[in-house]
Amino acid sequence: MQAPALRRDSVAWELARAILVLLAIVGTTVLLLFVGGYSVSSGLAALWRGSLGSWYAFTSATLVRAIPLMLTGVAVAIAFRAGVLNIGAEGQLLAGAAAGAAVALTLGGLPAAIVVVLALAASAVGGAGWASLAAFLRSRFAVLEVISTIMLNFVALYAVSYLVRGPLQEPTHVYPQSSTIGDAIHLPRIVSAGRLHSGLLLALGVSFVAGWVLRRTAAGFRLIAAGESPSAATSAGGIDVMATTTRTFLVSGALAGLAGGVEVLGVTFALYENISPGYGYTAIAVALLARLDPWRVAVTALLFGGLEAGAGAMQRDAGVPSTLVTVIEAALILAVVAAGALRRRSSFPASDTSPITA
Amino acid sequence: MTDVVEPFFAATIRTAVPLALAALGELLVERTGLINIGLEGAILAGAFGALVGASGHGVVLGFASAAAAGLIVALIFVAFVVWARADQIITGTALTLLSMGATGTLYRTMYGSSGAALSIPTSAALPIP
Repeated sequence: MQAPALRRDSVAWELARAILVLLAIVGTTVLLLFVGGYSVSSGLAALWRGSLGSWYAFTSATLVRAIPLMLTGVAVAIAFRAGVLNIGAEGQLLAGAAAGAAVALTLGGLPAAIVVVLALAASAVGGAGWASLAAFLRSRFAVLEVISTIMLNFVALYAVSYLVRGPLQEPTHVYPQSSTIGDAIHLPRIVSAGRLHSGLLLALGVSFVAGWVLRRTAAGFRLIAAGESPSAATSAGGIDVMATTTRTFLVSGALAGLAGGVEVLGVTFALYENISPGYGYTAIAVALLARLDPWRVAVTALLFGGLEAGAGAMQRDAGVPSTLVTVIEAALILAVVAAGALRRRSSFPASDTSPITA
Repeated sequence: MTDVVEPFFAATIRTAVPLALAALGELLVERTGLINIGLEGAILAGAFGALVGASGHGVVLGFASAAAAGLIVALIFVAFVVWARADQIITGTALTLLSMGATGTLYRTMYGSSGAALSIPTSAALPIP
């Protein structure tokens, strides 16, 4: 894993790159709208209206969607940095959502603030627990975490589907969802007349702390060293690579699980099957576009939150399928990995010993 | 008894066919030392290709365009992984995402989003001796 360094480029260079990405997104959107035979102007107008066009759209659509993307994006970024290819953020998010919902629904009698804290803690533990299955298989039997985490995503999906028809189903047993969590246990709103909840502060805090740990602490250095070159970290650094990567894997799972808990307590207020529209997968794009830097994840999560919010508006107002944005996200991931790979190839023509480079 | 057992075996074979074909494809690519996580994307593209091919021109062209659609996805994978030496796992994940979005968008563009069941010519039942 040759991740780009966490150095700070000049402001001009950062701006140029951000503008390039935005141009690429707008360009791809225009191209796809044109090829699909849709009205380019009304499509773009709807994309703008749904994401940034009004204060309400920005806070209640873009920011609300950016919150789970930020948490899962940081989860993926730190895992990839440590050389752990955790594709399982989606499953860990679902496990966290289930654990958070279960705690919030069972502990209704306690003071609300305590229930919120306990439910969020449970969601983090749930996510870490789900990741621990893959982490254990990886450290004990050298099972590729890519395969195990992808598989566990489906296990989590079907486990949630069982829970909302079994133990966690609402009392009338009609709908495949849990009871609604009481108003007192919701995450407080931070903008009046909107859906934006205080999970945003949590997500921003997580992104700041994770970036700070990577840049400024010994633990962060060990994590990066273990990811960059496990053999050098072991022999020259005296770092216990397996312990470092396993810990990172668990923290990554905990953050993805936290995203699930925040969704349940801040947006959906109940557990049901399609609680996540693939946040855990989009998180990979969010992390890669941020070049695996938790600080930049806060920005790219916002970008993808806006894209997904705008996609909904495009479908409603301009009749453009919202799946179009999935194509744009995939194209962005491919562009980022290809650009990184080509740059490396041109600077080190003959050095391709590691097949895994991002 | 047979009216329980027979549909069970029929369903087993029916669901096993796509699994077997996809696994065969992955086996080939893994023999070369690559790992293609984007298999799901190739299956989705193939299903869409079959729909487009068969709806206009019959079963044979349906199969042919399904294979061609899978080939296109594989070619993108090769371009990124073999030629540009990009990460296989990330490329594969992105290809699944790309295929999901592209088939969804194309389907709704070409056939509308009503969700009405389309009917296309299908291959005849194959009697098992």
